Amino acid sequence: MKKYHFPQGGLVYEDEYAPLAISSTIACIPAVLVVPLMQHSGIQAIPVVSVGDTIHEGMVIGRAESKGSSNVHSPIPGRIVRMVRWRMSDGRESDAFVIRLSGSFQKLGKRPELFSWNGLSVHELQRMIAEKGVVETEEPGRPVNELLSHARNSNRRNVLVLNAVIDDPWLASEKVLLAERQAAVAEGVAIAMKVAAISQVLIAVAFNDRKVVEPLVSLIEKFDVKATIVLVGSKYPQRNNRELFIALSAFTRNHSIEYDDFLLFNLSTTAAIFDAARYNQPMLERYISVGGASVKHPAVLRVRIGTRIGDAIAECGGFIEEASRIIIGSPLRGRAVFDLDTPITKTTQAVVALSAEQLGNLESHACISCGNCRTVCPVGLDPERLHKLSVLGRYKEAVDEGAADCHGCSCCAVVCPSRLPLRTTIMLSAERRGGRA
Amino acid sequence: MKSKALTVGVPPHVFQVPTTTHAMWIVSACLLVPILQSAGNDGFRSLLIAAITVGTALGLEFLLSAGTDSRSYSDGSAVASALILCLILPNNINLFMPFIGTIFAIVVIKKSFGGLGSNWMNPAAGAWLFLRFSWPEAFDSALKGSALSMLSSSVSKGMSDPGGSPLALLKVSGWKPGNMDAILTNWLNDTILIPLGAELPGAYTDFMNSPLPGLIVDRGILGFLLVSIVLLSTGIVRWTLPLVYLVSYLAAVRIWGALPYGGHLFGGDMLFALLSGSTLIGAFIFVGNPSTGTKTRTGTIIMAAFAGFLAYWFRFRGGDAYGLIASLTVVNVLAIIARRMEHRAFFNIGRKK
Repeated sequence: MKKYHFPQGGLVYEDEYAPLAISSTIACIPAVLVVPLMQHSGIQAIPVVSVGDTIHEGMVIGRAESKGSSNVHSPIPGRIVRMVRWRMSDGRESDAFVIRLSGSFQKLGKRPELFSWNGLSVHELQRMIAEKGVVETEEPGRPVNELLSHARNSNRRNVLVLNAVIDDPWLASEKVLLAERQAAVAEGVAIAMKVAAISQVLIAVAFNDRKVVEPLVSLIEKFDVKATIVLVGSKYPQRNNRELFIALSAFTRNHSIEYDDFLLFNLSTTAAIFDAARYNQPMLERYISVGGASVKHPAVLRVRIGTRIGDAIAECGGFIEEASRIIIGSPLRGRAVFDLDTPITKTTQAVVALSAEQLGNLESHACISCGNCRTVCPVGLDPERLHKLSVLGRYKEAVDEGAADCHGCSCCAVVCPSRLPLRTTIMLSAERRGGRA
Repeated sequence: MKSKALTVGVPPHVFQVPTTTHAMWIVSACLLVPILQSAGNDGFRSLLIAAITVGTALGLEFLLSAGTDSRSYSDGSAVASALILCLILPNNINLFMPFIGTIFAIVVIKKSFGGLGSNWMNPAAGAWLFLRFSWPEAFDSALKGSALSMLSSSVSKGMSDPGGSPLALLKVSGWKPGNMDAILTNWLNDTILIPLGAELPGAYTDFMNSPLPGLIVDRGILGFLLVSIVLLSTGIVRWTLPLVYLVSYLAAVRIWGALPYGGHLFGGDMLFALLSGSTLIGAFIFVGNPSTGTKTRTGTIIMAAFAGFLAYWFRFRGGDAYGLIASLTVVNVLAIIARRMEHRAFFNIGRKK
């Protein structure tokens, strides 16, 4: 089978401190959880409970306010002890409930009640997915019901794309989820296709991982859906929308597949769709990768949403050396946080505790024009020049030369020997376009 | 134990390449090897020249950064530039010249253009040109008795060899390989080369550890071969540039390289051309430095191939045995123009929407 990939740049990213993608560990449920009311792309959900209220597992505690917003559920039974204002890892501020564990679980440890979704109408399924607060499990966390509704009502030929590309070792959680919940992923795909009125699914997977998804095809086809594997490259950032669409467009062209749009879901999002429709269960937990040189036993954990990252790290044996930086997400694109009480949300994929040695010397030096950045830029930009234009405040020129095309993959900065924040300055130009030029 | 601060910063949080400073210190450490080899048979004069260039460079960096936040003296670039300059100077040169050359390299070429990364040509190459053309007699007298000077002298006297072999001409001029050469050559041939279907002619092993005067890098050529391996294996130098450069240069030497010595087409001595005239430092330090090169892979390959041919032209057709460094500075100048052309062609300056 032919391998499709983006035409230029990219890099091979390996990390010896990432967890092995073999199996997950179910994390202990901590006594206190912090559950933000904004775990999605839109504005925060409206709180429907108050401090002092007793809540049960899976109960709605925040109601979706508007487009982009999603319901928030209590991941544990207990009592709301405080409401705090929390700065999320993406910089946005949100109210969050601090929940103290008490009472009994209604779902955890019990055989799930199965609901037959086949007999439900599209609108009933969509309402169910919305009610259960299902969002994309990676940023920006758009509500899935809105994506499905948009696809169905767009009157365009959509193809569902299951993004199973693992180009970053910190996506080990996705790989483990696929191994452990393959049937859920397959059925989730079928449900999504019914709601979005799509008849074909493309499963994008890196060439190296093709064997992992082969059984998925037959599982999906049990639902009378046509599933096709698209082999793509494994270089980072192949998983990124732009690079993935380049590969998918080439594939569809070669296979005469007619389409207008791709509807893209990752593995854990489809598993969440399955949970909502089949188990009538909201998003209460997720798989995350926890590791880094400062963590004793890097692992893929199944944690309750709202678990504080300090508790997740403790679940992995705690710190073996002082962490110099803690990252939410992959070290390539993730954000540094400074509080171990930062909660894991629906869109958290990884928690990384970097040691001083891993972080290295971060002091920036003058650009030596080595050209490494140009070699790896998947968009074909000249990051060196764009950085210099940005530093000089010539934002408009930078935008004219393609700064707005940068999607922030960080490839340029990863290979910069002068440790220049290329990604940040280029994206800044795009934000401030025309500012001073 | 004192607790260190937990830091926050922008992504990425990990890196795949060593820092510039780290690379500079690796290069500097490597460059000491050929200097030490050369110093082994010139009474440590090569080492003295290195001490002068490094001391001057560090002193200047320290003075020029006094009163500023800059700590450019500690980034390794001054030491690396000083050692490169040392390597391309004759070991018998007047000790005043390395001092003046380093001042020119650091103050005029490097600092006046903004310091590390802003210079348009290699500071050491600029200083070499400055010395060569400011004090040509002193430079030539320092090279008197060197293998390449003897060869140039033989050619200018009208001597030739029907095979076009420069080593044959050297022997006629009075150069005699030592006893160790025959022993080493026989050993290499018997144990390695003949079983592989090759054979090394006599005199090359002596040539690689010659006690004759010459450029320090040529006198420490074995050491520099090791340096090139380290630079490639650590990824500090990408293999494309030196490879294209050497292929282009050696191909030209093979085709036309025997003509100046009385030989015929396709009779040029590639091994001699590779091991002398600062060819390797040209390939791995000057051409291999992307900072003074072009922007794209295509541009890089074209430029390196052109640089290789130009090096042949300056050295063999131009008749300047040490013309290779001059040819590379010409390439540095052309690279600036090439970068502008590449920018328009490949990075789409007309991307305006």
